[in-house]
Amino acid sequence: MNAPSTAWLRQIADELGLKLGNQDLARLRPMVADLLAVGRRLRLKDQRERPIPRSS
Amino acid sequence: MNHSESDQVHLLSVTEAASRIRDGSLKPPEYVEALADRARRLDPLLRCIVTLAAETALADAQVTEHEILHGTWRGPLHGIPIGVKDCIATAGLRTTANSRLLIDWVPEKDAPSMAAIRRAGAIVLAKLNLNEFAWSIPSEEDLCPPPRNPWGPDHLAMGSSSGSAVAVASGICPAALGTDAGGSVRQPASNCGVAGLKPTHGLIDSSGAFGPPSICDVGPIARTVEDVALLLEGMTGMPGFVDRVKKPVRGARVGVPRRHIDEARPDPEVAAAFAEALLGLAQLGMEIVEVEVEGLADAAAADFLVLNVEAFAAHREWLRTRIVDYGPSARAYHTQGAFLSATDYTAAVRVGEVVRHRLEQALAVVDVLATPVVPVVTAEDARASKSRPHTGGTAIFTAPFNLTGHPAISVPGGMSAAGIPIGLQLAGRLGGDADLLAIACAYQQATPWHTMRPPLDAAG
Repeated sequence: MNAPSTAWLRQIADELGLKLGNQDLARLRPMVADLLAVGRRLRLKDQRERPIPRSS
Repeated sequence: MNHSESDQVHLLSVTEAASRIRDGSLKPPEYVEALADRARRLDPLLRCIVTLAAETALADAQVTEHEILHGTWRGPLHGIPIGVKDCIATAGLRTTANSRLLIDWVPEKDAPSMAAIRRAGAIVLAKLNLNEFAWSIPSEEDLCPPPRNPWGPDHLAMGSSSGSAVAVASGICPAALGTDAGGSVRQPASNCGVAGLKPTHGLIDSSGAFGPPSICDVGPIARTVEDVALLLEGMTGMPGFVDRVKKPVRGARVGVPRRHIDEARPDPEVAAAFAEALLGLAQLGMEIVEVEVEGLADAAAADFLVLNVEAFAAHREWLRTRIVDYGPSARAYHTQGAFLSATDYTAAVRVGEVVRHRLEQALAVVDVLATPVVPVVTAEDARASKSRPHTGGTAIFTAPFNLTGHPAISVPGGMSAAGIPIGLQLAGRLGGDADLLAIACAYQQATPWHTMRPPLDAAG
């Protein structure tokens, strides 16, 4: 999975009212990429193992 | 107490000090003064203290002495000076969480765990250093720069309850409280050669401490497992833990999740110490069996996903209004959860449900699970390891039990060639804290590691 773009991080941060500078975003980018990859992996595994279907 | 005795009281365990306070041979004010002197002498090197509360501790000790002289003895914690991680609220005593956000915050109320241990008679000697809000990479620019490991002051002491483990290992206090959401009690305890327990989730009321509520627990750190049991009694108000640790455990079954351990590729010194620890358990008459618990690595990663979402939720308003007051690392660590979705969080919680069930099935067959505590030896090894990112990484052995709620303890289990302690982790059944402590205590009593002291006094 590709790292999230700085523009996407900035958009989310702005929507949440978080005043993050360029250095903050650069630091966050690989950390958020790791977390999103973990989330995606866990969601897929959950979907595979669940006996009932889910919409997401 | 003569001069040579006051030089040695820092070596007493809680149990030994309690016995001497009870029989009148150790006076709480003299005990507090001796430990406060030691703190003043060692802390410039170790940096484990945020606030030394020597004056209030002395006043509390004088009240304690008066109570005991007049026949009111509240139990074995009465008059025992302890340290408290500075993210646990202490009434009337500054609580900073090592953050500039809270540099002047003096709570009006104790956290429930704090109130309970004060009711049992313990005295707060010091508020102890930690990673900012217990969730950041420490740096020299922090409000209080990170504690140094008393076994090798060129090293840091893992985290986030680093100050608590350092203070206990160095004899500044006989016991301390920490918090643990992914290994933050057990890892520094392991790294400093002391015992640290993450109790069953919810056994201790951990509100009033900064930490992600669904996975974080206040836990005791001490030099012996018996002392850990004493503190657990104090914080829960429930008797029985100390009595249980003294009962025999021969014939207990110890499960080893071998595949999970091997896949984490522990450092050879960690692997060797773990193999020797298993041999020690077997020599105590315990049966060692390999077990398969699928999903432990997923549980470690999922624990950190939950941690990040809950950390952001707890800090959201401060991040909106006072973001510049966070250090750069704490700012990023507490913000990253903002970018995750409800479905990510739900999937992580679901992993916890599944792995909790699998662990309970495994623990129906064995009494405890045994693993290393951390796959590396030093805090610097942990940070340098590129193959173990922060999403689970060096908490691969500790974090699964935060997500599932199981109790787990780190006990001293070896020593690296460079003289840095290596811990053994034992994890028990949900609510099985007393049985877990009994097995840990038997192991500790049969091994020499907990009797070793860092070379601080030899160095003057």
